[in-house]
Amino acid sequence: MDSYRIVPKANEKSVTKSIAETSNKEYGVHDTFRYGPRRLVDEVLPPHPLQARLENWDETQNKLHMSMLRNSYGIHVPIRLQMEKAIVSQINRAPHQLHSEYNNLGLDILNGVDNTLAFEDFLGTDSIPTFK
Amino acid sequence: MNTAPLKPGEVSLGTTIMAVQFNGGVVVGADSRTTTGSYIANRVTDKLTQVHDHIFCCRSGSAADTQAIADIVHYNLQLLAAQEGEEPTVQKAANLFQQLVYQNKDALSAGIIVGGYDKYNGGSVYSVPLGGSLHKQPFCIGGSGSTYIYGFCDAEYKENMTKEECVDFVKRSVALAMSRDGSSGGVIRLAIIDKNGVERIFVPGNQLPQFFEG
Repeated sequence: MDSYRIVPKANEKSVTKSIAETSNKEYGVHDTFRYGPRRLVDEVLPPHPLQARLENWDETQNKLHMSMLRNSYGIHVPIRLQMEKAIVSQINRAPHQLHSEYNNLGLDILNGVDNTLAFEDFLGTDSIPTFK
Repeated sequence: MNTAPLKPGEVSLGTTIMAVQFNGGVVVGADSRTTTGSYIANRVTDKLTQVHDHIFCCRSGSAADTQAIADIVHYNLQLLAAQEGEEPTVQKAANLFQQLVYQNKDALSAGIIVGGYDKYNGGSVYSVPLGGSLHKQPFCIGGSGSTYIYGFCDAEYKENMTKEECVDFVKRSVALAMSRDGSSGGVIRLAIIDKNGVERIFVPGNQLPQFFEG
């Protein structure tokens, strides 16, 4: 869908979730089938207004760019670009690559960040090892 | 609809902007004051931004928001020009502004006037106010200072004005708005766009048209 959205929407609600929103009508407990597993963090801490914005940032900017390309050049340009990214993202499990699920040089080049250093490159988290 | 005032620390183009169409082109004009609260951050701002060879936009509202939008439209118009092999029409540029302002209306504070020349329609003026609607008009005023000159413009505007008459009309209107609106002032910047290109005119603060000051 064409989207000229520049920046993702910020979180509107800054309130914690209550069990009333996700409870099963018959039994009164959290309805996992409908709403997914229960997360206690949602009931204790409100989401930060910036959280939604930061999580969707790259995707929104990319969508804006693709919309512009689609309207200027035709549907084939975004399709080709996304196809290239999909091809490069197929996991090859090459044994010589350390942590190939976190390092993808080809994808970095296509995203234009191969010469960029950002905080994730020098600050480690639980899921991303520090010796990238 | 974004009715919130500017965010703390945000820079405002509380302003007077204007565009008038004549046979063969348009005249765009603006004041030059940018404020953060009551401090004048820039007293010689250029609010007339060129988004393509013969298309200008006049920016009012948040300085950051309008600059971001103008950059995106500038990039997009270059893509279009490359693809189609000729200059984009003013209507295309105006529609791009309109899409961006409307789809981001909850986050943006941007009032834009688009004026330019293309070979199919001659000079055209389009207004894209805060909500993201699009209006094609023979002339258009915008910004906080425009409220003070609606009567003057309605009374003074004539159809089929020459280029020189349009320049004079814009100069006098913007000068009147600058003298009454606290968020407008400085110098007057004008640009005349026709098929031969763009001519920029600068009217310093001590050469503004004079009116009753009482």
